[in-house]
Amino acid sequence: MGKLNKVSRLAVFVIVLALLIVASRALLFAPKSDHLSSSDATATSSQSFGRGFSNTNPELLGEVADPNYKIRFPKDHYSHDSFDIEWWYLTANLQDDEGNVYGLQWTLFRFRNPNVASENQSIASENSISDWSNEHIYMAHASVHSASQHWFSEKFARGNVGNVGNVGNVGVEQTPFKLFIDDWQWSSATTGLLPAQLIFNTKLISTGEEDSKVADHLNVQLNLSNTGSYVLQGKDGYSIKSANSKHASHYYSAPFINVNGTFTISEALTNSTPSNLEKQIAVKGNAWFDQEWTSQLFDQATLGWDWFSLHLDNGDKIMAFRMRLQGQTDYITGTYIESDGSTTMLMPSELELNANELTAVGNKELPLNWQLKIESKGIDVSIKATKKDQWNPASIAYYEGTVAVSGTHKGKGFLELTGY
Amino acid sequence: MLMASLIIAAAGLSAVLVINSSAKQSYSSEQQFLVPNVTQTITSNSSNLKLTKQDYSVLRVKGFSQLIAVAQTKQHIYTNNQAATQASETTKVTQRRIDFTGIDTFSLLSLPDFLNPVALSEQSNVAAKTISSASDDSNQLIRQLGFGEPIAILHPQLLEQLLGQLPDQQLEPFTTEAGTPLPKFNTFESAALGNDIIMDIADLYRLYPNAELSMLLVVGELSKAKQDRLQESLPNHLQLTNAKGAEQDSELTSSFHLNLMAMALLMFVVCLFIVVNAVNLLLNSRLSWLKICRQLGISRLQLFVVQLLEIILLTLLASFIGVVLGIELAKLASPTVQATLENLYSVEVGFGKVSIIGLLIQVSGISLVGSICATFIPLNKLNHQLAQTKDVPLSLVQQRFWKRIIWLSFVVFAAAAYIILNHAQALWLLLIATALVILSGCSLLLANYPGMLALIQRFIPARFPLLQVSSKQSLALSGKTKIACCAFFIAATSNIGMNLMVDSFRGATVGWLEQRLVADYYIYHNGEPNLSDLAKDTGVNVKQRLENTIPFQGKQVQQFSYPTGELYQQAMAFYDKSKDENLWSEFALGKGVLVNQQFAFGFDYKINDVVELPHPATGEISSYKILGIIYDFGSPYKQVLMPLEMFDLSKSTCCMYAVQGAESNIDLLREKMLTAGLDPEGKLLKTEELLAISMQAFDDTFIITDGLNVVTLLVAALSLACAIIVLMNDVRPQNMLIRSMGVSALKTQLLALFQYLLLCFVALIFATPFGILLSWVLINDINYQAFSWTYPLIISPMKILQIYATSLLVVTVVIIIPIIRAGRRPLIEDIRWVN
Amino acid sequence: MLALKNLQKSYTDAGEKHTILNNINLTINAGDSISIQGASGSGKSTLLHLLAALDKPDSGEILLNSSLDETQTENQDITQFTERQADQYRQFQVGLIFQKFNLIDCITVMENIMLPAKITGKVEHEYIQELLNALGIKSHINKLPNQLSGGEQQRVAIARGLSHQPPLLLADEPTGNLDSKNSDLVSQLLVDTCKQLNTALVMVTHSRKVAMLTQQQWYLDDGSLTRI
Repeated sequence: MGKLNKVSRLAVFVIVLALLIVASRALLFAPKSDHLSSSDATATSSQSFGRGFSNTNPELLGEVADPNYKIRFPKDHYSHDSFDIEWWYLTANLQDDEGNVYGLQWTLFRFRNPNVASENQSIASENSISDWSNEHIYMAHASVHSASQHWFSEKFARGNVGNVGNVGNVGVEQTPFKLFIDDWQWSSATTGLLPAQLIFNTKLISTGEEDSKVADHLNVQLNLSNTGSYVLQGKDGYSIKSANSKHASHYYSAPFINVNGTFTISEALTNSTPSNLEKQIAVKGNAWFDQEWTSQLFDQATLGWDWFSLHLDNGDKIMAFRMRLQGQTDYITGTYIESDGSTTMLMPSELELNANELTAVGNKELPLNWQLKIESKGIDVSIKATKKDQWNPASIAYYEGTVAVSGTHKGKGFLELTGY
Repeated sequence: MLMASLIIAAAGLSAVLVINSSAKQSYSSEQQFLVPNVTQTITSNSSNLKLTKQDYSVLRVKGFSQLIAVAQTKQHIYTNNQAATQASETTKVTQRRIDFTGIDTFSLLSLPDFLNPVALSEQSNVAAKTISSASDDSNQLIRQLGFGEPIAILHPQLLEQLLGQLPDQQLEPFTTEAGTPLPKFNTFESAALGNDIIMDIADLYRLYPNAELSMLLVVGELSKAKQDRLQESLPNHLQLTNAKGAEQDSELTSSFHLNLMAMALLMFVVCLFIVVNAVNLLLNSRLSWLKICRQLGISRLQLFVVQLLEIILLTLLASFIGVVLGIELAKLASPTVQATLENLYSVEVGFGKVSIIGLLIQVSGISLVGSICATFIPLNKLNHQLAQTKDVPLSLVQQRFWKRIIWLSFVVFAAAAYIILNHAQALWLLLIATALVILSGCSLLLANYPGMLALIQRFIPARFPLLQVSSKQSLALSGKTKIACCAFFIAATSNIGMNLMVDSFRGATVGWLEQRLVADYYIYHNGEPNLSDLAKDTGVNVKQRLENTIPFQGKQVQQFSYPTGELYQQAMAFYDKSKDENLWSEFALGKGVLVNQQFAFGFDYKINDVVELPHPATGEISSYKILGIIYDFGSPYKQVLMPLEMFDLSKSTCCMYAVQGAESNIDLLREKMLTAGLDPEGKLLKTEELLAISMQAFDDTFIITDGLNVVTLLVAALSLACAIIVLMNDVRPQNMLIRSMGVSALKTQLLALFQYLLLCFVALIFATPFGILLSWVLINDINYQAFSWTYPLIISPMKILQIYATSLLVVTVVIIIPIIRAGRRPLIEDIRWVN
Repeated sequence: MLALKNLQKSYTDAGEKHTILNNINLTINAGDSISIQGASGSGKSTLLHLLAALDKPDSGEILLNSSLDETQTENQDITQFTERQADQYRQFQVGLIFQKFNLIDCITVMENIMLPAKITGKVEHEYIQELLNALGIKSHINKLPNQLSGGEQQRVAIARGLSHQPPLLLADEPTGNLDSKNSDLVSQLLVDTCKQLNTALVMVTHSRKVAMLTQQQWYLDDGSLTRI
């Protein structure tokens, strides 16, 4: 019996020893990631390299819009690197030979991260080829809606790699204008913005049908030509977005763009790969181009905005913009553009823009039904989204879709809702 | 002892299972650097023209948006020296450099499959489904890498190691050598992550501007048309290769894993020997109690069931402890294993995930089977003891019968081993053959113990009567300690075999290196400037080695240049060569080539065979005769040597230069290197230094083997010690008798030691030829099959004697304890006990 | 001569002291034939162990004088022997026979018998032959012990105990494991052989019949040794 106890005692001893060893290792070497993160955060924030899309540090604000600045072309088609945010924005209302309608949007965004700029200058190596970032980050969205389908893609790129940007020398040489991100390209034959060819591809995200085994890649080739003049929004391109003028940008549009092109629907994600399931659709229609640059659009007060671009059947165009701000009344501005290109700036008192109702789309309530009144122009129209779900499910998501105009005037256009 | 040996067995087995499965997980993982579904890679095939950012952006703009850039650099991690006077002074934390990897997360996030946008109206449906795949976790991480504050991702075990290496458990942030803080560490458990820290590529270049853009990953399958278009679009200096090189890696690494597994199993089996003896001891000590139970009417079956249940419970407990210890052991060993695998086989090895339940079940299962089997022998003996059956010695007829059985076993094992060794090629079969060789040795030993001992007895002079008696007692002992002696034999054989193998390898390596390294210095330098040009006015003779990689029969083969001068002709170490006296002139004329063993054995070529190879400069395929097969120890690559004159510097890479000259001229070269921005201290190596470094690396590699050899010997000695303890009671009357004749306690202890050492000595004598045979099998069969190269076996008598001495010393150290304990007992106690 | 003087030996069992030997006095001369009887546990074996310097008494002396040992000129107290001296004493002065386990299994009968003689270096072949003849075991010399019967084994044990010509032979229940026929035979042989060789014999036995064969019969009871 004594021997048995000896064995059990030994077994217990061994077990306890083993557990002690394991426990001590666990205690000694438990990853102190919490502790590490707090100390490390202190260390890194002094030279933070966050890639945030907005700059909320007022000390590092980019160049502010100048009411005295004169917009000149082709110079101002190019990138304004000292401003925090910029976009080149195309929206198009298209239809094919069978009368099917399509809404198309293509946008290239540029964001400037001032922290990166200051740091890079201090430690950038002499070998600039190795440097994989500068202060600019690019994002591009491509969205095409048919009655039942939605193709959408998002791309990201950073400046200084070479796969995104704006090529063409401003001023001296006659290099043709180009905007590109990877193989999405806006290429002009001249130094000017238009005429141009826009090529991009995108992927199906919603079929509206049960069968998901459809060809899901869409390749778009559009020829864009300007049939009218450029329109400087606001006062000579200086566009104020809030009552206290704290939100302002430089903004111009090209609302008289004629479009014709081809949609190629296939299985392969490529610009030109013939496939058995390839289908080609000829499209044509109108497009509206915006370029805007600012450092004052996003701040703590900005809740979002609602933007309209309308092509009336009589050839006139309307741009209406409602800025929603914290603690302030919504600031509504717009521009009435005659068919000959002459413009009338609309101040908040000169137009009424109201959402008639909210429509449930997914888990959101969105104003897809509006009323616009411009008394001086005899405009009292109802603007309705032609398709309910035209939401772009991007990293920063927003609504961008075609609308139909009815009432005193008929037409079509685009509606953009942000901040919902 | 029972628990200890079961725990050791379970721990060893678990550790090896964990190491093997972790490594294999990382090979088979389709993720590379957390990027899923990588099908191909684009890399540079030229040392002059590297992969650049521009190459990348051009390809992306052409529409190849599936390409993701990856940059890498190996760096140490530092921490701010709190005691430093200057702010920028840092202390190194890591012993092994970390593989820093930067991924172009922006491009990755642009892949539609990655971000996977879902229409708003369908989002609620998607949310309802549970998203719990590992790829989603890594996708989240990539998002964080791209958009959030700078972070760096690493495996929790690596972070544990790093924190453990911090001096005094400081929590200073980790930094670069210059003191720049590294990004915040986020841990992520992935089989693909090993000695790696992953971050966004921009962060990597910010911290390490000299990082190399190492490759472009191709994410997802490319259609044939698109692949063709990509090939056409690639500039000349870039190549597209399949990422499924993991298959080739796994062939190479499987031998490593097999080796580990074999060692673990060997250790397990030897531990089982201890279990047999420990259970014997246990039951022996309980014999009186068990006999009382029998007298009380408890049946033998009941007693056996109870004993067996106890063993099962102890085994399960030991397995649990062993698994826990084994996992810790694997963690401890993993940096070494990782480094070994990554350096030897150029694979990426991660920490892997361990399913504790699965491992527990596996190890418990094996341990249970083993310990139950091991318990049967002692239970059988107990059965005899409880049944009061006398341990009657076998009759002559029975003895002859058993002797015949043993001889038959020897013949069967030996024949099977011979057949397999001569006809089989599969590695696992060869390992079985090795085991059969050892088993046949065991049988031979058992069959010949009496004869051998009788022979030795004849040499003991008559004036040592006690020695003579002792040697006869040894003979009797040999019959009772068969298992322990076999365990010792196995340990000794494997010791001799492994030691001879390693020694032969070492000798061959030293000789080969000394022969091949004829130059005074060697320079390792890749890229610009070309050192031949640099050395032009210094008076040194520089021979560069130009290298190509060529496809041959579906594999990538090294095509290296070799100088044809007299000095280098003498330097070549041939395994086999053509009898032709014009060998070197034919080589110089480009009519023939030299190949290494790996090439010859791997593709099954012999001397004078003809091979079709591309010309090193023009790429034109021509026929070449194999003039010689050369030694190339340790290389996993197949190699072809052709004259230097056939190569074109613009087409080939050059990383190595052989330099000859007087010291003063070498100094001139040093100066020129410094001027060119090259570090002569790091790149210019004196041949003696190179030899020393190589042999140090060699010795370091085999430290583990040496350790394992000693451990195996120790275990065998322990097994013998257990057997001795069990037998001590049996021999007590004999010892009492001898002591009663006036022989001192010390003398009887020495005689006892002599008995056991005699047994071991005989086992060693038999182990010697089998050890040599084992060595031969390891070198010429297993090494050949696994690595396609081999080397001559060198049998060193001194080495064998050394092993004899070590083995006997280990046995002495272990068994001296029970012997001394027995000897310390007063004789009167023994007399009383016996009578 | 071996002179036991005032030997005292006791042991403690569960805190209680038991005196086995109480003031024992005995003289053993050369050639004496002595048997010590007593009940089981009376201390007979203990006394024998003291005589063999295997154990030490609590008090008293056992003097070994020159009449037994020609090399010694003065008396030696074997109770004060160091272990080395005790070993030497047993090697040269004493032969021991036990009740069982007297022989080494793995060597032949002859090797068993010769062993003590070889250890001491006192190998006299004629003497050994005489022993073999006296004990009637000549035909067994090449056999192994387990090939002999119990009685034959004890006879071999006697030969082994005497092969190195010790002045004193101590036998502890030499016939205890034998049947009565063999017991008579072996005990007779033991006494006769010792007499023939002039070897002093001290035999412990519980058998009166066996005890009767010796010159002196002593009885150990309650710690006291009395002559019968």
